[in-house]
Amino acid sequence: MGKVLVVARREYLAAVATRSFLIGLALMPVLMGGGAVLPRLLTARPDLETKRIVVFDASETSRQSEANEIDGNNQLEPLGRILQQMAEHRNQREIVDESGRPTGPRYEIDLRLVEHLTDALRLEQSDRIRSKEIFCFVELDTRLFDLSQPSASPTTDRTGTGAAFYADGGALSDVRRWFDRAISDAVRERRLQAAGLNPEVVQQANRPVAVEGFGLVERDRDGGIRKAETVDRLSAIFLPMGLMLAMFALLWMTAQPSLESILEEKQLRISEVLLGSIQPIQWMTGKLLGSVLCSLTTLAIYAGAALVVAWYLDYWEKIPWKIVPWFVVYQLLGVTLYSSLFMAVGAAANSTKDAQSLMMPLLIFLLLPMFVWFNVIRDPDSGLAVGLSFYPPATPLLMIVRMMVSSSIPVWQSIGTMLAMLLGTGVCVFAAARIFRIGILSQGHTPSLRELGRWIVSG
Amino acid sequence: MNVIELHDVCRSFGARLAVDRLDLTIAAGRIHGFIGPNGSGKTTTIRMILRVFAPDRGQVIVFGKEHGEVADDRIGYLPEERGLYKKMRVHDVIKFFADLKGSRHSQADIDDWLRRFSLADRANHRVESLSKGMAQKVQFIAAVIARPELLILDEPFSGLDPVNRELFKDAILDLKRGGMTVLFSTHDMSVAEQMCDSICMIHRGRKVLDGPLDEVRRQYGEDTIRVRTGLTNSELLRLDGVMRINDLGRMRELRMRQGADVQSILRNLVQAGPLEHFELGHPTLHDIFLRIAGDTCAQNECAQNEGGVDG
Repeated sequence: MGKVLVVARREYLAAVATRSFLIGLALMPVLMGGGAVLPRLLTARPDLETKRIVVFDASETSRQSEANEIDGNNQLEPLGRILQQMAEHRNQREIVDESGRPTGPRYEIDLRLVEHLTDALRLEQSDRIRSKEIFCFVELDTRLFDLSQPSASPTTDRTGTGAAFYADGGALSDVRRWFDRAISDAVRERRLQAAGLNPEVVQQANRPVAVEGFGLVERDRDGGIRKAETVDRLSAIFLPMGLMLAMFALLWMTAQPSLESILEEKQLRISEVLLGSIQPIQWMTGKLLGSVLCSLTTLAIYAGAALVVAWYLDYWEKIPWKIVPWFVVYQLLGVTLYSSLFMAVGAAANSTKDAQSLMMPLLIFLLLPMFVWFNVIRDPDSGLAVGLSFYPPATPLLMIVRMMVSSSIPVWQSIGTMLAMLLGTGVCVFAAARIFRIGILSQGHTPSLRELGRWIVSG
Repeated sequence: MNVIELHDVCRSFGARLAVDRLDLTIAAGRIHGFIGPNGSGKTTTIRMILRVFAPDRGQVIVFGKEHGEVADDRIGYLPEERGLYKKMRVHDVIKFFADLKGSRHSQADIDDWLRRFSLADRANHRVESLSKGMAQKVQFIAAVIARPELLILDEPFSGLDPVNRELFKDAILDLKRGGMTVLFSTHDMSVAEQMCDSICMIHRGRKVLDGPLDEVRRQYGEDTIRVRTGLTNSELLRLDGVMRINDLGRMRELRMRQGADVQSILRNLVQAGPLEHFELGHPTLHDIFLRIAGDTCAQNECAQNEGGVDG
């Protein structure tokens, strides 16, 4: 045990008592927060360049005759003209803040009423887009009013829906989204009129009802019934996601240096010197212990900072105290599991490049929870969420998410996942120790996955 | 008492036989040289003594035990390929190895060794700031700091300048005088010749020579003549009784045929031209090494004509 502690102490000091550790501590929240702050910074400087748009409206002939049959008059505005009016309304009302400053680009629509559009005309307009003369052009035809068309979105298919949007890489542009909405609204109105319904009445009837989200009602310490708290987006999505990302970052911040440390010992032949002084299993255990201590230090620093911020922002009540012990235990087991696997990779590799190759198959297993976390937040008691919670590399991340979202995780699941995690960690440490014992002496040859399997089985 | 005993030890890696039926005995309190060319099985043998590898066959007995643990605290080990944590300070890295071995009197010993190796003023410097020679000194101190009973040094003199070589040599001799058993592998025959009480030569995994140094040299007899003369190598080779020449530059070593008459060779040399130096002696360890390695090579690879010039 003495040797294990000596190695653990060295590993801990080598990781913590460095400038890079402090820089990493400071950078991690910056990087994580950057994801949230950057879009805001970008929207703070909106694109204000006017978008010139050509709308070819070939829908008029049949629509007009249709309208005549319904209303018996010729007073209906062409669809393209309505879009022009909607764009003007947007330019004057929707993209100006309270102080009168523009918050978005103006849309200037050049309306062309045509019988039909030829390919030559489409090419001409495409060239105008290429030369930046216009931003896009839109094509409307008679099929917009054909109710037999099974379209959900009028612009998804030019040949099928009667509306098409042409732009240079504009599939996801705001302009296209605006036309999606505007054309839908205008056409819907026409269709309602065609059906003899008052669009205003229908709009009233279609007004959505917002369902307010609450948590569960529970008894307080005095035996009274405590009202359920409102579940806002912060506690429903961002808090679980933030905690999961924090856990993920803590695991990787600890496991990655373990790999690098082993690789350094192997490349600099320190491993050769250590072999005469310590058994490989003691060596690896000491390094794992050092990693765990390092992650606890990181956690303590971040937790302390988070508490200060929560107190300052008056979020004290939002702190999920019940989850804190689980978080710590899952984190410790996670660090042990991840670090042991990373150490095994470091011991088997001869260079950083080797380590990257060996990490690839491992990453698929370790990153699995990152692909499903949103499904787990949406339905924390689904079969997928419960099943994956018993998969040790995913347990710490998904269980924290589930515990944050749902207060009714059965006890058997909490204990069961913990036992699965313990078992999984034990298996990983055992396998990693066997790879470590052989790999640390192996020089010049990177083992294949099959060889690694043989090392694990035969020892 | 024997500190190490190897009996009929074999070890292979895949199809390659690294150590083949090796017997070796190392007595306590002596310096034992382990000699052999690269790839001859020295490091594999050392790793079996350290219990890093188990033998495929045979017995490896260390301190009287056949089944010991890896990293015995009574053994100090300086590997051939060695490194240190670059970011650690000199004092801390030595203390780390002392602590790993459970040394109780490390602080005083660290100070003594640092002073002895003129590193006292570098104690708080990072390892990465040291020259190669200084780093080698730190590595040596790390191996001996816990006062092991058996010290295993794998090529301890490689890359050392003459001053540091003397420093290491004196340190090893002092450790021996303090009762430590030392096993070191080396290519440097002159060092082995100066320091070792006994030697073992291993070639292609098999022991080809073993025993106290004097006995080994006696075994090869007084068959070497060192001369300084104006004759060419071809003229010397034509002398009756001379089998091979080792050209050392100013001096040349003539190896005599078995049963050749020294007096006759001396007479012929004097008659052939001016003779400045004539000395009859045992072959050096280097010469013995070359003879064995060369003989093995000749048997296996390059059938050479009898007679020739080395050097």
